Amino acid sequence: MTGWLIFIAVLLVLIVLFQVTRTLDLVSQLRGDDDSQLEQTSRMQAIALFIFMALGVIGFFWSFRHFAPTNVDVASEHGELIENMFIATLVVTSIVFVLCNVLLFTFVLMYRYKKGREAVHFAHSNKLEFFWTVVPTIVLTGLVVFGLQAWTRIMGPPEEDAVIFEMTGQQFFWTSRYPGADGKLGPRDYSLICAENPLGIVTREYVEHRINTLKGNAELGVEGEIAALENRKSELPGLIAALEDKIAKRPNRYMKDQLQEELDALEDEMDEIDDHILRRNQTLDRITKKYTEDYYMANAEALTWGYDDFLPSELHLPVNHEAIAKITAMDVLHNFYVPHMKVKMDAVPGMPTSFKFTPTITTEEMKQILSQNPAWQRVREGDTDPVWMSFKYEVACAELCGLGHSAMKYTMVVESEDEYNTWAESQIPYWNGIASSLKISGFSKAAPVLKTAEPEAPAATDTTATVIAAQ
Amino acid sequence: MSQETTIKEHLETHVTDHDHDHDHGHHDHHQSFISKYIFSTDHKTIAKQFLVTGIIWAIVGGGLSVLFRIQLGYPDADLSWMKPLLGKWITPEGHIAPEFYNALITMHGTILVFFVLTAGLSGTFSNYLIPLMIGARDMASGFINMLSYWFFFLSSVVMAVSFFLATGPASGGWTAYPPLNALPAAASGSVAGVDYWLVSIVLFIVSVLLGGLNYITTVINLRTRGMKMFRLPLPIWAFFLTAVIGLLSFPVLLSAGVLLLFDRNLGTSFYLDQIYIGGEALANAGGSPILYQHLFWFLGHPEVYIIILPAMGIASEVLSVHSRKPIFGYTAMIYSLLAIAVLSFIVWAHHMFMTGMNPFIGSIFVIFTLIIAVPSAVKVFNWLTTLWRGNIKLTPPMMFAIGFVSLFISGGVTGIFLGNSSIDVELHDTYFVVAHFHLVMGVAAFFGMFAGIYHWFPKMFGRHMNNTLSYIHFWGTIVCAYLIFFPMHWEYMLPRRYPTHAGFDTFGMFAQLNEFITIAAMASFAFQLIFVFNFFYSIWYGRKLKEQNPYHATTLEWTTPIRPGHGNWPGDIPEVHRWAYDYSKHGRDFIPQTEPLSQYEIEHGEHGDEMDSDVIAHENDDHQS
Ligand code: HEM
Ligand SMILES: [Cu+2]
Ligand SMILES: [Cu+2]
Repeated sequence: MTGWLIFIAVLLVLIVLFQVTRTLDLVSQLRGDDDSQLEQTSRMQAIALFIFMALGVIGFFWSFRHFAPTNVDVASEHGELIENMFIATLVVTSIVFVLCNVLLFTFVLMYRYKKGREAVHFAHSNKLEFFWTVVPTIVLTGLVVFGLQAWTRIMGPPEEDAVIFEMTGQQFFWTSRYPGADGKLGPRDYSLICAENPLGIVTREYVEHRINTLKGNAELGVEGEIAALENRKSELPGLIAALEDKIAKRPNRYMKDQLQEELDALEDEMDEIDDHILRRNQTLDRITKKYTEDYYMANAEALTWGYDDFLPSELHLPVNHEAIAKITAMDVLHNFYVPHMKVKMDAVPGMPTSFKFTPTITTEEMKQILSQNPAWQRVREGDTDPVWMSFKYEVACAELCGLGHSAMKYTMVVESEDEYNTWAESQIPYWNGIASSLKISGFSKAAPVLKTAEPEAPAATDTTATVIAAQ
Repeated sequence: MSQETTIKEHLETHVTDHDHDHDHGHHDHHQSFISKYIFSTDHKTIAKQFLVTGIIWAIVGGGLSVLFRIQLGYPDADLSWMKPLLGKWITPEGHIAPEFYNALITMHGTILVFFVLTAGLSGTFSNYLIPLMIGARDMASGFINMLSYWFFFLSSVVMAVSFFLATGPASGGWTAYPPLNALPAAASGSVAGVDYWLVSIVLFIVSVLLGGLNYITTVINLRTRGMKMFRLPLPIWAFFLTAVIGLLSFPVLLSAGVLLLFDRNLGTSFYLDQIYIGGEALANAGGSPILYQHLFWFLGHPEVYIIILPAMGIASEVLSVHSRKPIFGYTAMIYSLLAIAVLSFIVWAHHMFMTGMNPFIGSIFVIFTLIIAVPSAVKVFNWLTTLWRGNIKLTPPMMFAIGFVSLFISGGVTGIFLGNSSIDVELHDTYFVVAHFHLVMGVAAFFGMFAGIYHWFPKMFGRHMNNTLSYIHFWGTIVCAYLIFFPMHWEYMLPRRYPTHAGFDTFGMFAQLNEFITIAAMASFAFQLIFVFNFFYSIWYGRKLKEQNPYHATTLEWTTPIRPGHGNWPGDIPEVHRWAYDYSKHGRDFIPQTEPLSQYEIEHGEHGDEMDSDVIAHENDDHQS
């Protein structure tokens, strides 16, 4: 009700305002003498435009000081490079921006319409045009040269001893992986992905496991996904018929709607189930075709790299040591974005990318820096400490990837070389945690070795070595 | 009546013969409502159809942005009051559901880029002005022209229908990158919405190509006697080159879209490789999502010039007419348009620096991208010099043209940041990019369009718009546009396409700014409603136009009757003797294009570049023909 009243009130005000503007227009028509009218209007508008420009230029500098995140410290080496380029370009473009706008609005003010003033017929001047073609060309060449130098450095090859880690984007989370003691990330195959092998790392056991979970294995008591789907497919018509029956009998409207929804869901499932079965079969097909004995012979070494890889729940990197992110995606495009480090690179399904960078400020140092920053004094709901106290470098996704795009947060800790090493050594290879639950028959051989591996054992990498040796 | 008959006969002989159907008998003078206003082949009516459809889409597209800006500016607020409009897309907590937020930004971008700033801008002004300014009775083919509008209309209908799909409209961004837009499992908008989106875009491309062919043919073939290419008014050059760019680039988007449709519906793998989604591995192998981006941006970058060139052309004309000066550097303006048109085809990958593309190839695109800034800069300096020592009438169209130049400067300089790949590492896919392209393309093109509407409204409808409302509209729009998009540059850390940044401490510092921008966005939308009202009100109730040439302009459209009929000129088409920019020359306020060259001009060159018009004025007394 009040909503309507407000609406009507606003409408009335608008009508009144409109009548006023109409009257203004009519009056100016009646007064005649269009030229002096126009002279007056032009004067008013020109002055207003000039003031607008002046306020705008002031606003530009003011808003820069107030809102630009210039107090965010750059936490990587190449980030400094980018920052400098940014500032240099900002200076150059600010000059152009201010100068051109000032000229524009000054000309408008100076040469606003006056009765009897004659404009100058000035149609072109080769000299002027040459001048302002050449000047921007020179300035831009300068920027390009510096820009490309920086670009080559940023995109150049990484150093030999760079810390390698891998980030995999998936709707809607990141999975990180480190290569473990051997310094090599195990190869991956998306066909092998399953609950026990979330990244699809390739080892002989994982291949066997995946074949068994797809095809089923009576000996091991595994039903197999394909068989499960087939079963479901055969029971669906019965379920659907039963539901249809119920709906036909049920007079209650509410219940009917609910049943109808269930029915729709079942019918959708029925429509799609063949696709799912087909895809499982195709996956199985790809696996059995690819992983032949020849393949194992040819890739024997690479197939051992995956055992000691570990999948931590956050990134750790040593300070002042180059790191290289190997970036991949499983489903759609994502982008590995670390705002403080000015790191940004797309994650593309089917095409691994990478980005190298050297963190320069540890997490602890950054905390101290941020403790001085007003924006970090906020207190999160349900928390008592200001946010800077729990600071960790944040990783975000910078390529639209669906409804959870804004929730793809990951964290990164930068620490001293020693701290990093201690951390890395304490990490347990993913394989160790999962091996016993794999559905493979040859597993009994490897099992005893693995079972001796204590979860806390710092010598996790040794254990892996034993596993490999046992092969 | 007898006069009308002669006009009609005249028409029949002059209008190219193939565009008159047989049922349009010679003796049928009374067109039905349908053939006059709906299935019209008159370029002026078709232009108005494009304009009105464009305005409607602009309200829709702008409205969507207000909705998502509210979510972004007030991420914690209870928006349940939107329920009557958005229904199930409001979550129980009263937020816009993230997938629908994505649908809103996708539709906003698509509608404004394609429907408003391509169809609404080129469609309106190319159609309206090309025949009138070059001295032609109509487009080369009125029928194809009509088809062009109706394909646009169909495309609009398909896009509009997609809003009501149970799974929502396309939600993968206006660039529709696969795999997000290829896999139904990836987003609810990708279930059916993307198919509608693609079909709509395909229809739209047909419309653009039909229109473009017509514009090009008309400009090349139907210029009146004496209208050499280098006597054309600048808007015509702009429309002409826009059509050429469109003709060369839109087919590439068409193929990109069709391949995406195949990937979606026929199981092909043009853009898909090794995908694991929804708990299963897909069989697609060998494709590349990056291929799509190359194809898309091969259109996408030229597209931004398809949008801005017409606005540049219109602004050039309006600046010249209302400052009573020739446009400065007419030939330089044409060559810079040409340079932009050519270069716009070799800079597309600057949108892809961060895709993992080979960095060396990236460097090449850096160089071309920064080269394209040169002709853009030349245009700006020429506009500034056009104003210098003019006699500037600050009418509403002139205000918008000046606003256009200012916005183009402000938005253009940030391209220099983005074109430098190393800075783009930081800026890519952040609000800095959003600020850049809204200023330089979005708002600037709108200003060009408004300048055009205010300038040619009297020609189009035989009435004036309300001046006071026009000034209010100008001020509201320029102030809000700057308030929205200028501070947005400082959000250069903030990633785009997030319904809320609350999950990240790093982005907490921008909450206040986001709220401020949202308020400005709502205000700016309100000011556009003033324009809409003024526009429609004035069509029927505006003050009547009494003069044939109210701005004392030189160009041919002002030699037609106040309300020109089908065929534009009742008598012969006027002949042209000079370029379009003889303002304040030889002591005269303006010399129409139809006036023969004076002896002096024949001797000294028709583009007479004299600085000192007084001297000329004296000499002129002797030479006046
Ligand atoms: C001075 C000349 C210009 C340069 C150097 C330039 C450069 C760039 C670059 C490098 C990007 C990609 C940024 C990124 O995504 O990381 C970009 C984005 C964009 N530019 Fe420009 N630009 C210029 C002028 C223009 C003009 C005149 C227009 C339109 C009329 C325009 C419209 C756009 C649009 C629409 C986007 C964003 C597309 C998207 O991601 O959705 N730019 N510009
Ligand atoms: Cu994402
Ligand atoms: Cu571009």
